[in-house]
Amino acid sequence: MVRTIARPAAAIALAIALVSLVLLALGASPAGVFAALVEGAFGNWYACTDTLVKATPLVFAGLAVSVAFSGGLWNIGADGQLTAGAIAAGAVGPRLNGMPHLLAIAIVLGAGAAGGALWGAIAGWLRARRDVNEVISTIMLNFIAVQTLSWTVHGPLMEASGAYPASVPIADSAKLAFYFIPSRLNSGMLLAIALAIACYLMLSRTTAGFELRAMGHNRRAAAFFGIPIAALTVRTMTLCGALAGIGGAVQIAAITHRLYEKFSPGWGYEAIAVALVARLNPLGVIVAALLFGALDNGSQAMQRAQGVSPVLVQVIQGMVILILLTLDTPLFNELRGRLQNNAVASPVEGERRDA
Amino acid sequence: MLETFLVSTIAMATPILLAALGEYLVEESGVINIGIEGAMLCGAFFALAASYFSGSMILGLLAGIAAACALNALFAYLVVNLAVSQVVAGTALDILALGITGVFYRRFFGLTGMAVLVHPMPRLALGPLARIPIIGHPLFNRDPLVYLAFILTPALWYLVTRTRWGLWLRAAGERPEAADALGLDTYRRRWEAILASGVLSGLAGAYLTLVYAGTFVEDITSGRGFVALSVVIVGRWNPWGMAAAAVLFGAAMALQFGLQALGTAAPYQLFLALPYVLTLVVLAGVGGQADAPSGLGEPYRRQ
Amino acid sequence: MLQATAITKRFGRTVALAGVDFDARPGEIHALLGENGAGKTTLMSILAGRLRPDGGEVRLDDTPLRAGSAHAALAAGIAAVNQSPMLFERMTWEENLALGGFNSAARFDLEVAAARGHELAGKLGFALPPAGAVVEEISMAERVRLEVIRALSFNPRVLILDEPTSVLAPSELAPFLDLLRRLRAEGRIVVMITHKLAEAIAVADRITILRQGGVVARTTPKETTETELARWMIGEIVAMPETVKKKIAIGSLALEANALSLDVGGRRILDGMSFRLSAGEIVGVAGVDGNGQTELVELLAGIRSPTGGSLTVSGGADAMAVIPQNRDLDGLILDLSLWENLILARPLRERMSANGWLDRLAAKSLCMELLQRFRIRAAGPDAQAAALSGGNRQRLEVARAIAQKPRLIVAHNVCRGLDFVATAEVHRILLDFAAAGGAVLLVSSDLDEVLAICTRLMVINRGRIRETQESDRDPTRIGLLMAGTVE
Repeated sequence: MVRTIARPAAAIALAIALVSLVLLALGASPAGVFAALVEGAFGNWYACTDTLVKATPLVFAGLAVSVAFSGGLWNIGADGQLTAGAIAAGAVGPRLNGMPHLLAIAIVLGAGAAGGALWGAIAGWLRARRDVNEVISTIMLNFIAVQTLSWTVHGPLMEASGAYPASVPIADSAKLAFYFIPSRLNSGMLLAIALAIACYLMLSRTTAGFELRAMGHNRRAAAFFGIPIAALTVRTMTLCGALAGIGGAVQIAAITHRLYEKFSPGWGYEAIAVALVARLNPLGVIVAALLFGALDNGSQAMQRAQGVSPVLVQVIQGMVILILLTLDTPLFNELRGRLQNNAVASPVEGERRDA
Repeated sequence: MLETFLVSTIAMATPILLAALGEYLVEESGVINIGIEGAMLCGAFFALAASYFSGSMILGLLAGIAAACALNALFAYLVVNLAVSQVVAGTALDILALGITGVFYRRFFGLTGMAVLVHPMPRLALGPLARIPIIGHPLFNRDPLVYLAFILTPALWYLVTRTRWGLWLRAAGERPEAADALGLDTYRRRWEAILASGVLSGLAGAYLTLVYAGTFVEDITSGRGFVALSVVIVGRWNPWGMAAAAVLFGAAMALQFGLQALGTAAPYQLFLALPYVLTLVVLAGVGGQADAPSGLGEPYRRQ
Repeated sequence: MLQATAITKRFGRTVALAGVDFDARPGEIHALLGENGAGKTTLMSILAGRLRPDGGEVRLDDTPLRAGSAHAALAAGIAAVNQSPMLFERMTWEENLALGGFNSAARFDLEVAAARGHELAGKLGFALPPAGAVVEEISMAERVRLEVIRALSFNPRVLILDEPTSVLAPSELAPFLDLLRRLRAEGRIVVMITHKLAEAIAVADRITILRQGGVVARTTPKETTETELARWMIGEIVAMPETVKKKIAIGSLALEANALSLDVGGRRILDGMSFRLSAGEIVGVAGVDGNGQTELVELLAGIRSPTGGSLTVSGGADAMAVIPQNRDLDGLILDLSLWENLILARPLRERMSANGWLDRLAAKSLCMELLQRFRIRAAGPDAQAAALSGGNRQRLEVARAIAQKPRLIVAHNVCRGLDFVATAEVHRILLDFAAAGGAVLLVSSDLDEVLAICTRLMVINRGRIRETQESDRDPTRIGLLMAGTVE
């Protein structure tokens, strides 16, 4: 356990140290900045609940990234998938007036899942049937989603007055309730945690999850033993799209109640940092999402108190990813191996290698 | 009207083409750099900042190039020497660049609340060519960076397909371990390509602030680096094809500005989405990635 | 003189070379002999500057070479030809030559490269492919020749060849050995890496034998015999376990291929193959690598679909177990545990799961049982496959195939890289399987192997398969069939 969290912890510590240097260079006080960040994220009851709220979309998107990465699929498209889910939810939501609350919620979340699944499935299909690298296709689909969102809020879904590029609000019956008002705490986080547990069980305890991991470790060997690579690729990308899409729908149902341009502040990209810090473990995604959600939440307070732009959080995200990549290289492992123990146990008997 | 449209098309196409030519070199060496958006953004911001504080256009350009190269050097060290995932490293650099430029911008300029303006780069009329009706002004009465893009298109085509360095570069992208066995030094070829791409993305970013906008706003590149990725794919890893794709995408962007300005109900987003949609269509079409180097995106670590 | 002193190289915890001394003189062919895994290729890579040794140095005429620089080695005059040609397959052969040592101008000239290539090839007595041919379109033998020409384009004083004959058909062997003698006559140093005793005795002036990363003997063909060389290579003579081909009652049909064809990228890889395989048979498919064997196995495994014809496995796909050629890349997933590698096989995976949930305990206990039954040396079911030695990895693969309780096992170069003892053991398992009524399709480029254990033998050449008669059962005759020189 200590081993698994050692590297993410080291990466975060190192990133904070580097960011401190940047802050010093800018003439800001690192201590002040980080104190403001923590204060903003956990300073009071309201801040704490809002950290949970900010972490919620990151759990959904983080799962979409980590499950795909576990299968060796580089899903850079959680952002587009989440947006597609939000569009679907935002389109369906206004039509649910008078419907029973639970049914309306289910329809909105189902629409979100379907929208995201469609977006993921396109990339999966292109990879499986047309041999199109999913990195490129998911990036392209992210931008297509952004433009589609922009079109819907200027066009078919635009609110009645036509003054603002935003959609018609969803029906009251489809809104997720807040608890402990004025906090924005809602049941979305519970759903996120439930899905994370489901993903964890799927990956570690089911045959389907095993096949996914086998594909992630070695596509060719998996194919040799009858794992249906093409179908599994489409299925996985569809599932991941749905996970992100539900995240978009939850955001609509609980927080914004409507669509607007730049709906996602980059959750899908931040989710890559979340997934890597979580070591692709779905349960770890919850913890990592809380961490990055806290940073997001604290950044506004930090700006007010210290005059540093909230995008400082992205500097931290970028650095954490880069440092984690570096810590995982064979070069580093060799170095660590040499430092830790020079006389490791003798090699497995008979082991030889002709390189 | 047509002339304005052409001027706008060229202004849109130039930074995309410059960045795409850099990405082309990188991809021929077997590396895919998604961090190109970040490099452009760094180029854009630091070019503007240096130009603003020094009053010199040249210093601005150099600062933009230096910033983008610094980011690319970090990328090169990670993906070449440490052989980490190119996709993840590139994405991280995009995020990092967005953060760094944002933090610096607000720190240096954000407090004033005023737009930071610089004098745009002067135009350079190419004598009688500039007086050709309709196309003279849009093509030959432009800033020097447009001409640079004109020249670099055939120059890089020649460099990659006809010179020994180009052959080495392609060998590194095709089968890095075999290139190394011939003493061609794959790491070095990749470093060269990535740094050259740094220069070009720096210029592309600087174009946005110093030529096109005269100012900086956060995320000013708004996906142009990814459009450059599209240009390489749609142009089938061939500078001539890439130039055509860049002009096509430039025209689409120019057209959508025109539509927005006219206030028509036509969905201008369609034009903005064109590069991305076209990329998927081209990739899904027959041939797929057949023209891409075989080793593209595969981490390679020397024994 | 080429001189390597006290060369040491480790890969992780594995010692590949432990203080090896080696030297070769101008005008000699020096054979470097050893079993797979003895460290021959590692030594070659160090001599050619492709690998940096952990200790020791390489000198050419008393000038030390910069360690780990292929560029420096080539500049000093050391060129190497690889076991499997290291060519740029999507470039033309002229471009491949231009990447060699012919050109020095900044603008490379394909015509110059081609002309000088033709000139050199003519001197050596063979022809180059037609102008503009892309490497992936030319035959394996042409590729080997192309790589030799490219190595010679540097005008090297030292030419190192790594198992150059392994991809050549037997009939191509004699002209190739002549080529080596001609290079020797030009006063070059020729180092030939091989594990074939007869070859070393036939062509070498001196022989150095490597075993487990160290030099065990230095000798000359005149002073030694194949038996002695074999003892040095293997360490001790182990009595080859009895691999008696019992007369087995041929049972029911296990596999039938009917006019099987496969096109890849517009090229015909498999060309109208028809054969049958019955229970109790071990049928060999002998051939030089690259004649369609890999694709045939992939077809059988279901990764590819045939362009034409049909393939019928009695009892369905799950009645067949496939042992692919490259165990580290295709056969095992090295960073998964042993029990997970077991359930990679679909029949075992299905047996070890219920309603979609994995029965991890059952999988682990099956793994434990197999580890004991097949004497696989491992820490336990949770150990990573990467921690096993080559021989144990292969035993695990064979154990997995047997555990599937298949009617048919398809094995591709199943003993490549295994030492003597491990090879014999794998053969015995396959023989026992056939004796118990199983069918085995043994795809192999090792002629001795197929002759030793197969009940029936087919030869594959350029995607065509040909049944051999009992009267063909003679290595020379089979060799000619493998080369496609007789019909």
